[in-house]
Amino acid sequence: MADSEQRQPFRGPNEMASTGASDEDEAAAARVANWFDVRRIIGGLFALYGIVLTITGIVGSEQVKTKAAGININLWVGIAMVIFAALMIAWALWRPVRPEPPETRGEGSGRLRRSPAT
Amino acid sequence: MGIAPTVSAIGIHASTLDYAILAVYFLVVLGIGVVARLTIKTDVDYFLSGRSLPAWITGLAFMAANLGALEILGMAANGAQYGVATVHYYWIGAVPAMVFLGVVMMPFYYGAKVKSVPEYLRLRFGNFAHSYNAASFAVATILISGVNLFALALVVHLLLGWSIATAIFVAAAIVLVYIGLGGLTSAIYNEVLQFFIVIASLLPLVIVGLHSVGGVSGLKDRVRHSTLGELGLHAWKGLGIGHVTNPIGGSWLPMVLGLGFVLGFGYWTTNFAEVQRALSARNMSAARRTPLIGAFPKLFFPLLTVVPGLIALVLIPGLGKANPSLQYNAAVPLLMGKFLPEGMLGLAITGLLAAFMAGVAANVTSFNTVVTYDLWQSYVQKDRDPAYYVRVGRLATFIGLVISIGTAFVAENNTNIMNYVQQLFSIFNAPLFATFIIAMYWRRATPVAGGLSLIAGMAAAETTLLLGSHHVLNLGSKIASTWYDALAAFGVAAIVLVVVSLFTKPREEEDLRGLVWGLKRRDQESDAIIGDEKWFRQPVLLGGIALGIGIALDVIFA
Repeated sequence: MADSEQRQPFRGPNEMASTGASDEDEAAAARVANWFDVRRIIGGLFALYGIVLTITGIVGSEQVKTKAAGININLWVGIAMVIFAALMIAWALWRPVRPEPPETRGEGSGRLRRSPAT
Repeated sequence: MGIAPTVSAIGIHASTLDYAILAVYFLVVLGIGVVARLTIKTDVDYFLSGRSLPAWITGLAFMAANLGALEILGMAANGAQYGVATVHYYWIGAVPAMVFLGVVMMPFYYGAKVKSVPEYLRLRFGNFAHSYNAASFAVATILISGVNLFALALVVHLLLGWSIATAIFVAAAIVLVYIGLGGLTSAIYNEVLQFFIVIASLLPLVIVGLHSVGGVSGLKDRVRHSTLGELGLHAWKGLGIGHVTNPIGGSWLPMVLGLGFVLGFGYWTTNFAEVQRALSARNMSAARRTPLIGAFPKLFFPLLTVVPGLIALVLIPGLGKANPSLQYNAAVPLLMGKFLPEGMLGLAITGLLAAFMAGVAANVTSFNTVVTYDLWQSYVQKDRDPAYYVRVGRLATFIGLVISIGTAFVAENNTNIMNYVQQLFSIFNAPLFATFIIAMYWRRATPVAGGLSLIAGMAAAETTLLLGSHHVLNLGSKIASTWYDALAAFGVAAIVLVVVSLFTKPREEEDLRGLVWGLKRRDQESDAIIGDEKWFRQPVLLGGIALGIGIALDVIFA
């Protein structure tokens, strides 16, 4: 799991334009790109929806709890969405969007380290 | 009507909580548009997300761009009307074509560094074929975008009770803001988001529905005793030539050739709204994996469309009969109204609307790209700065949506929109595949022949369609007749391309490097990044696994 592709599963579009900028600029660009990481957006939205559904499933009326053929669907889907959100956010934190450290950059090929030509 | 809790035409009562869930989604969508705008520095950022996206994002977007109103509601409707054989739209009509695009065709598209599908034709055949293809694509896409917009409004009307006109304008305004600001990045982010929300809303609905009919075996029993009968449970039984007894109404041969080979390949491999997602990938490996990653969810999507159709058939009395609010297209909304309590109902409404809006957005992003690069930049204003073309793209987005609103109102007066769309596809899309596949594999194909074959194919599709609709030819069921239209278009386009090529002058082989099989570019550098060589990122292997799963599913559901 030590190669660059693995550590960098996602690159925001704005990173391409910052090639050649100073390291400070790149760090700032990386922070923006991370907040705009689609995994965090999905995780955040699913967490919110999941919590709302779970609460509805707990405090809802008897009709709300049994409408789905007797299954408390809000509760179960809510819990599943919270778990999914946690996984998405964990993925985004574990493999964040970040520029390559200078020493691993390839020569003259942007900031992705290229594999040897085949 | 109003943006307040109302009871809709099919008796769905959306509560304040449901509206809040929907409103949060719209805020997130608009927020993505605003942030995506900050990432745009050049035209390639706006139209192709800076060619920077990883394969899992472009792959899910590739699949989700197709996941509009017609896909979800239409396939559930077909499931209820024609039964299990509807899976052919996935396992025959989509997956093989997606694999073919990733394994065989993507090296030419991505390798030529084109920004659009018509641009490939410009490099391969010159301006005649290019201008014709770009213009006809722009027209077809905006017509289909109008249909998608209308279908979206119809669903909002059914689910929330808004008037059709209000729904059309609100949806168009939201798409305008987020695509206008953020371009393709906005569209793709929303497609990925929508993909997960659709699954989160349809999967629980399927589970609840199956639970209520007594599981899979209960569903089978009840379908056997429905209007579909035993053959409604089989994908391949009753498709014999000359004695078709399967509810789908066509035999296996025109189905495999027409639906699978021509319609499916034509749509998935040459429709720029799809291919654009792959062109935004960050390198060749990711571009080739884009349709392959999309193929895996596609394989299992019948569970979320065809199965709810079958459940609705056995649970909703009178579905598909004379009552207009019980038409087959309402199968999924009717199930939602029957089973989902507040909260979950809001999520499901959000999922459907998100999918339909993403469908419109996919049309609009491909339209603005083709108008900007292939019409404006190619033939009107050649050498302007990137910021100028981004402005043109935003203006094209606006104009495209205005025209879509117009065509949405046209579609409102066209009684059967699904047939209208199938006709558009068989006229505009089916002829393209013959031209592209021969262009990529036969270096002798000439520029004149390329242009003429596009025109001839479209004329052939239109002729078959007219002959069929005026009962000069009897082509079987409506579904089966679209397969024959597609076959005719393919055959004529291929014959014209080959015959005319033999009598006209081909281009120099040097000019075709990187565009045709067997003529590699001399300066081609590998853009592979470390990790691409891993076994699970090999396009051929991924494609083989997808095809294998497809065949296994076909055998199981034969």
